[in-house]
Amino acid sequence: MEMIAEWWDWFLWDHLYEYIGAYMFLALALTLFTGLPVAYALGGVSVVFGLISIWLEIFDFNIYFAVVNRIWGGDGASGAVQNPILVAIPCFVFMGTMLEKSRVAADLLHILQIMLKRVPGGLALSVTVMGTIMAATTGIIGASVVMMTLLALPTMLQRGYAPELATGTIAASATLGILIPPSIMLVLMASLLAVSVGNLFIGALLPGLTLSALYFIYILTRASLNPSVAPRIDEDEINLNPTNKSNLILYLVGAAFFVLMDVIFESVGFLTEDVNWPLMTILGLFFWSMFIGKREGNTLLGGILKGFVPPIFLIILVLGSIFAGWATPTEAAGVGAFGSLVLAWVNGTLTWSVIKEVCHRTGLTTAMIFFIFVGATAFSTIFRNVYGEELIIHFIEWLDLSPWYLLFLLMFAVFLLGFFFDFLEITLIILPVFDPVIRTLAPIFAPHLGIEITTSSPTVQHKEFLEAQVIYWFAILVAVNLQTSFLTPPFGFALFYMKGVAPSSVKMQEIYKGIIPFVTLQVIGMLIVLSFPRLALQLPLEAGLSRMPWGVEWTFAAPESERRKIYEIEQLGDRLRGVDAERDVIDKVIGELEAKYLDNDLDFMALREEAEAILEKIKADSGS
Amino acid sequence: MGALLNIAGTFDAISRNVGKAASFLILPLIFLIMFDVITRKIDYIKEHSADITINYGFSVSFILQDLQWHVHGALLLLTFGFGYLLNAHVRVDIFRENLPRRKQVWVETFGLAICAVPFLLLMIWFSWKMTAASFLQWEGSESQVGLGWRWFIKSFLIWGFIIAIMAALATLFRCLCYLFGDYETQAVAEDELQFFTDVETLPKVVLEDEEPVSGGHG
Repeated sequence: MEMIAEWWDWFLWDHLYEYIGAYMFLALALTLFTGLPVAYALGGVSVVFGLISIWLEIFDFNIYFAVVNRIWGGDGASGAVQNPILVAIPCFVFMGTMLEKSRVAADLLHILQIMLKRVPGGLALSVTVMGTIMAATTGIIGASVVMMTLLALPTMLQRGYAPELATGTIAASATLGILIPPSIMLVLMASLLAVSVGNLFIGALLPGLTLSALYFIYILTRASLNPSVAPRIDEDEINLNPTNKSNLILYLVGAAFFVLMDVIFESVGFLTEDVNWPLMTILGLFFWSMFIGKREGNTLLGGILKGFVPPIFLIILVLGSIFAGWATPTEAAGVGAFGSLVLAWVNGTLTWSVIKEVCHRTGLTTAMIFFIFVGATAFSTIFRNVYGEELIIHFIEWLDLSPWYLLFLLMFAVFLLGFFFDFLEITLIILPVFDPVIRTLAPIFAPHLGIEITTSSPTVQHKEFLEAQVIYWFAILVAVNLQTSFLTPPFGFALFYMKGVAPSSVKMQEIYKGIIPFVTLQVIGMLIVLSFPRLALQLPLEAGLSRMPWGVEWTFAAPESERRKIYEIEQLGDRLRGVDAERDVIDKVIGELEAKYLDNDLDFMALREEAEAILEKIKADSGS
Repeated sequence: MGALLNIAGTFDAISRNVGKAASFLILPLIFLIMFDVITRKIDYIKEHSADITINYGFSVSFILQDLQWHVHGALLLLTFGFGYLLNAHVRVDIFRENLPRRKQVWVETFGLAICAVPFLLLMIWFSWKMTAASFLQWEGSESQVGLGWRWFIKSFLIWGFIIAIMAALATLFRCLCYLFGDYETQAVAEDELQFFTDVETLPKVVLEDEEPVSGGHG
């Protein structure tokens, strides 16, 4: 009896007190697998373990005030309600749902099919291209897999495609939406990891396109080597009317008019203060294309205009406005949602019942995302306050792995979790736990990313910059990893969604068999992003989204010495331009000086002397 | 038992209708953002906004920014219950889908009683405390020139969780009726419960001219 009491004391005050975080995770796993809504499982575990911790006097009841406070947000990053970043989510959901209702995807597939009819495996390639383009407009795995399966699978089977190739192509292409921006997952990740959404979006672009290119190459090779798996479309199956020449000319004239208008107004400076001319041009081109497309009807020109213009219009609206700096990601999401309304209106699908259904569905999806957010916030607040994060960091220190092995371990954990959980649970529960680990590893991975801190006195700014870059790379790796995980048999999410709506002739074994090559491609893609971090980091740098503090060197960008030289030349140029003389002359002089300076023909003192001499000369000339 | 079912019906109707109404908030949200993006560049409107800031101490652009997350907050908080009733919340179904209906109901009953209801009660209580604190301090916008009356939007936390608990209680009552009721109540409750894995309450996608098609694994 005494022994039991002793053991109980030890268990409670030594063991449980220290390891309560671990038990919390265990309990969460068990509760989740009962099939309760994830949000309730998270909330329930946080209540039960919160009460136990209160009893163990780790904290008091006011911890739940902290929970509500964190659900509310207000510190600019972490909360659900007062968080301007997350306003993007309902807007993106609305955009995706609205697009599902308009016939955009079907039109796009139709025209791609016709354009790629002579290429081996044309239909499968069309699906890949469609997945890539539509990925930019939706971001919910289940919805896009179901939509693309319904749209493409019956046609592919009917044309005699091998079921393995057909299902593999569709599943892989449809899940690209998780990675190719705008993706809801990336918005959530950016908010939780406290990095910039725009930056993450632009960074994910190239890795996403790389994956889609890998699929493209694979399908092309496979269909060329073995045409029986992907037969061509018969010529007589395509009934297109010939393109009306006058409409084509009319279209080109109109398009040229809009572009010219933009160029002229921009260069003259007409109303540039008040009106965003590039945006106006895009809008004008869009309406003109849709108008001519309607007039053309079922011809090649009409098909191209009706198929390509709507999705590309939306992509330009959303990504372009982020890239060009017109709008924050949140505003871009709102603009995109508005764009989808306009598209539905142009396509004639904008009725009251459609609006009602899209709104309700948006409400449901938003509720689903944010209810998990609420539960996960409760869980992570309690977890943090029972020192769960320290527990994990101690565990990782105890493992004593080299950073690369640790990265692989984290990736493997994400991959395994992806079998059972949707990206919501993984991003909301697991990523905040990994976040401090990755941040401590940041200096170790810096050389691999091509970043070198050259200044002798690094500041907090340098540290944050470095951490942010590593986080971008890591987040994109996790995104590719999760996509792979959703595709991997036997548990892959996407495969179950697909089986649910595929014709009954398609067997689960065929789906499993068909996806294996694509999983291999995913792994290759992941290794590419892993070994060439530039793929994810270069574009934000080029777009000027990654603001780099002084004293940091990108080994793949222009070396710092060169950047300093350009800066000095610019300073000099500003001084020279201040002189009252012909602009062309001065520009020419500056250009010559710059070339000499960068080729190391001149040192800085000589450069200044030469510039002074030129200045004197010009002054003398204008004086005489 | 009949009374329990009636209460469940009332709770269900309230949280469903509030959720449906709240989900239309996405439209004003989109128009707010559009208005903000379009008018920000126009000088004429900018001057007017500046006048308002000078005369009344409010900034139009800050108010618009604040309004955006206010609307977003109301939208997401008020739809929690609606989402639960239509079984839109994510579940990990790999073990549950092999269970017979009766066991699924048992699991849900325990889950609601142990996890959902205590959690939501705690959230309601502490949301109330937070809103009350905000009201007593007369908390305004962080930027001083934005939207004031912070307690008003914070009170949506309370309403949101109350509506969510109504949905949870409605389902809990129906589960109890299904488990312990007589034959008739059982049938009615079974009909009204919407979380069984063998029926899909939400059609995943409706394409033109086609019957609603349901997805599999959720």
